[in-house]
Amino acid sequence: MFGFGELPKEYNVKIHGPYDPAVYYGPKDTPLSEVKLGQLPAWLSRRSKNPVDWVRAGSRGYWRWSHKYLFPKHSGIVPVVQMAVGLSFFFWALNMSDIRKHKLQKYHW
Amino acid sequence: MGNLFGVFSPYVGWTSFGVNWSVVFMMGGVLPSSFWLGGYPLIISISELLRGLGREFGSLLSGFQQPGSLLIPSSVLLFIVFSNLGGLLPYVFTSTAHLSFTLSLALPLWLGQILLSSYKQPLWVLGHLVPEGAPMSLGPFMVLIEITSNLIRPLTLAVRLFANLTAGHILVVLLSSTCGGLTTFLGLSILVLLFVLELAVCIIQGYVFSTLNILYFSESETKVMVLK
Repeated sequence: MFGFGELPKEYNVKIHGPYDPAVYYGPKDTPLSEVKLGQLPAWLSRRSKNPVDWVRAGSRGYWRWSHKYLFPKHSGIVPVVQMAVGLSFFFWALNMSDIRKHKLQKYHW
Repeated sequence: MGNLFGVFSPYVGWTSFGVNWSVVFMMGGVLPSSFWLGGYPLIISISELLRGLGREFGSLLSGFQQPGSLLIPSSVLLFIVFSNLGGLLPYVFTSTAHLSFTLSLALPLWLGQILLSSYKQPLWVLGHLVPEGAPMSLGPFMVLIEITSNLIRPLTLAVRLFANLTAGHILVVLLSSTCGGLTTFLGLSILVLLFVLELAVCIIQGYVFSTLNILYFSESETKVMVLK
């Protein structure tokens, strides 16, 4: 359904070798960090508008993080701390509308 | 949060449904799948831990261990431990501090065992309502007591986990209210000790939950029930 769990259409094992979920096998474009400010609207217009592709991009970002921090032999406690901080930040942002009211309260629990 | 129990609220002001419950789905992402054949350090260390626990759980099954019989207790243990530890992080919602959540873990596990053993070996189940060695004059009372103890098992499993987590969080919230004034240093030092205790409680409660599940399963299991 929607291509989830399937290999990307642009992937070809004879050309690209073993599949890496962190790699984008579609047409190459300028990385966001190298895009000039004036080129930004054009760069954004080239991005896919399909939400499924956004999910795939998020998945590739997750696998890139895993390759860099989780899978190395001597990764240590770093990925655990990053996951903990990320989780805390996510729930802080989720509950921000309630947390903001604490400053106005006379008694704090 | 406007009251002492506000930290347990799954509801957030901007929506009418409990978005904080999304932490339950995130616990499945704590141990990501591996890319390389050998695994990664985090999953290797947890696998070693589970292997040791598997030996201990296997001994509790009293020789009736079947392939896959330790899958459920191990995964329940990991799920509860990670949910508990996640609740100790700042702002993260503790799903196991809710009776609805712990009961939904305990009730299906217990009910499945009761139904399976009642279906496969009803006479054995009824016969074991009077423990071995008990005087027959006490038989009727023993039957009532055994039925009560059996029926109350899911409730004890759920309430034990829920009460431990809730009490710990309330203590932390209460102690943190002492910080900021003259008693800050004392409050902080007790908070540090309490936090260490909470860490231990998180792991122990998960271990107790899954160990008791295995014990109840081994009590309801005989050679007749070994699936072919």
